[in-house]
Amino acid sequence: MEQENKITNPYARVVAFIFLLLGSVVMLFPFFWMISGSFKTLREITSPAIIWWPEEMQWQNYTTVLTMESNPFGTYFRNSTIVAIVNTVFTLFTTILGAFAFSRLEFKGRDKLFNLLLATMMVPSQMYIITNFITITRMNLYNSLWAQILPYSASVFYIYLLRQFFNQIPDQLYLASKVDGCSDWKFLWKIMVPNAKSSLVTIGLFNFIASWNAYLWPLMVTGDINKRTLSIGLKYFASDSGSDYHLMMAGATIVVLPLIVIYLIFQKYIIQGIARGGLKG
Amino acid sequence: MKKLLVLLMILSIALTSVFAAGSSESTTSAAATTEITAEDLRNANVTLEFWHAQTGENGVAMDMVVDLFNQTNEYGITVNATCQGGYTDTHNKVVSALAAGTAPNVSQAYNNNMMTYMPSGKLMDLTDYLNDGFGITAEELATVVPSYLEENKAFPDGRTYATSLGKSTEVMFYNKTFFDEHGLQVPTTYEELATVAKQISEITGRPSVGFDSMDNLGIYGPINFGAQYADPQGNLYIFDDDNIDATMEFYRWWQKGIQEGYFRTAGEDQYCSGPFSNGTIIAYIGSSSGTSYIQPDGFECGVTYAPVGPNPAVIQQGGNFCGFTTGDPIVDLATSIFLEFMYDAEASGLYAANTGYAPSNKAGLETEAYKASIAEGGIAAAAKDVSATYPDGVLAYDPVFENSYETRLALSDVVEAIALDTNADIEALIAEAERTIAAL
Repeated sequence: MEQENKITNPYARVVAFIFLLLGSVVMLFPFFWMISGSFKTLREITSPAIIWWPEEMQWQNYTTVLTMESNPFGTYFRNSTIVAIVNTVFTLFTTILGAFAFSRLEFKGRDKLFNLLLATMMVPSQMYIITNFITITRMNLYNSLWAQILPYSASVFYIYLLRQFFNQIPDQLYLASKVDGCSDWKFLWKIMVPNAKSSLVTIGLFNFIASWNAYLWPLMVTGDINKRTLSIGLKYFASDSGSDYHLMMAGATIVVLPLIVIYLIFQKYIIQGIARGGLKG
Repeated sequence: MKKLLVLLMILSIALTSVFAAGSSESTTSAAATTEITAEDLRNANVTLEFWHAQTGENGVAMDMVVDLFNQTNEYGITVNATCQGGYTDTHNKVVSALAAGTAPNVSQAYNNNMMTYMPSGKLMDLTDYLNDGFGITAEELATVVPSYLEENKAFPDGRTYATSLGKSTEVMFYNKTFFDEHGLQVPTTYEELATVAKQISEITGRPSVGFDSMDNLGIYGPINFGAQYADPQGNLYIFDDDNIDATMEFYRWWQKGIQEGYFRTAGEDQYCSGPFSNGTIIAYIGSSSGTSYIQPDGFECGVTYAPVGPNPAVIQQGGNFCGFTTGDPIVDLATSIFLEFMYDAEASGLYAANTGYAPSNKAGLETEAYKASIAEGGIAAAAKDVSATYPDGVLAYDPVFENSYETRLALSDVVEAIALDTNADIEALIAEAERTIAAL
């Protein structure tokens, strides 16, 4: 199969290589520009002339961002890490259970219930932000990390995706395991989940990125800077009268760095997951 | 007849109850306040939640003001201040918190945002509090910049719902080195501005004067040419028969500047401070609070009053502060005291000293902190000095009414469209703006 996909014509290979190279440049350029900007002065970054790389590296941009007492990036980093990891673990757990229930378990009204859940995806998230806010405050979770974790611990979209993958696993496997006395719980964790590893990594990563980048909700449910996350910290460099773009770029580099590292670690699974589930970010 | 009598009786009872409720509501706060003593307030150890929208250096300055209040107020009131992002973020959060019943005691907001808080019934009416025996005194109130006081009661019902700590205004930043080298006069009027801009563009070969805010220009441009904008009841005058000539005169002045290539907007630079700093433009009209973003590349930056038209009007801008009632008269009184503290000379002087804002109290100009900041010199000092010393009657604000923000945007679209298309049909743009506003 792999052999069939290989390009054997040398000219076609060159064309493909150039095409992929151009694609890579387009994809990587924003990252380069962000990193380059993070080492520039404000004057360089707002210069009409294109300055690809600063004459003198402004390392103090990073020092400024990391040492601001009024905008504690260290605390934000810790909070973002906790929220993103716990939220991802919770989401994966609920997604696995939900997908299994809608894929394998037989119960009355299953498909109708699933369609009903799918229909909720039509409602824009802005519509229920006030309702969620009221719920969180009534649960006395305002100004806590739990307020940032719990409301996004289940996703219909991810359940739908994983259900599609679970549906590809033959019924015979499930029935055979039942004949062998395997419980649903055991079948799920011993057979389904290991098979769905790449899909789960992809879902986990997308959820992690979404949680890491979240801005509006964490801002809504926190009143104390010690409970806030990195994305909110970036806002600190912009005001109504202008923006400190050089500091913003340094902050953005710090925010993005962990995501790049995670992507590099899990890229094999992500590509598999995308290939199998047709999942796009 | 009997039925008619019954109907009339029901009607009168209903009306009486409505008006009785109305009058009791308007006097509740004042009546409750008069019963509270300073001792009651001290014993209550009130802590207030304060949400603001000041980031960066302005946020640090806001914290200084809050610390000053916490240390000096004689009632032991403690204020916890938190930045909630920008104005839009803060506003969205307040809207949600009002729905959840968890609104802060005090929030920073634009007055048009405050209009949206009114239906909740929680927006604090400060009219009576300003004249009670707590907080700001009548003498101190007399030195508050009059246009700030007027702005904070420019609501449809004419009541005061806000206070101000400091305001930025539009000023003109210009490349003094360039002006000196070419023997150019610093313009003071729109007419002079157009002449000088044209001269500069002939030298540099590109647009020379920038305008940071199309929103402001859309309203204050026509006003400067003699048009009346709107009133707090939402009556729009800018396009009516009495004002259309002045409005058109402004649009033509603006269009000529665009067509002849000497005016420009901030465009994708977002703010003119960038292109001004690197010499792309030679002058711009922008906020006095944005000076930290001006980093002149090898020239001296001058700051002066924004040029004006035959009917001088320069916008005073920046968010104000409003309170939310809790139902507890002591907490509400403490909230009003903190809100009134925004007008305090020391507080507004301290805030102005550490930002680009002019103090809300004229006596703030005489505080040590403010004078020291001016003595330091630099662009920020020059900008706020200009901002704080506009002649009486020049500073202006636009009233808030239902959809005032959207009206502002519709007018902004007209000047923006003229800037984007040198051959724009002004009358068609006006018709479109009128349609948009009518549909609001």
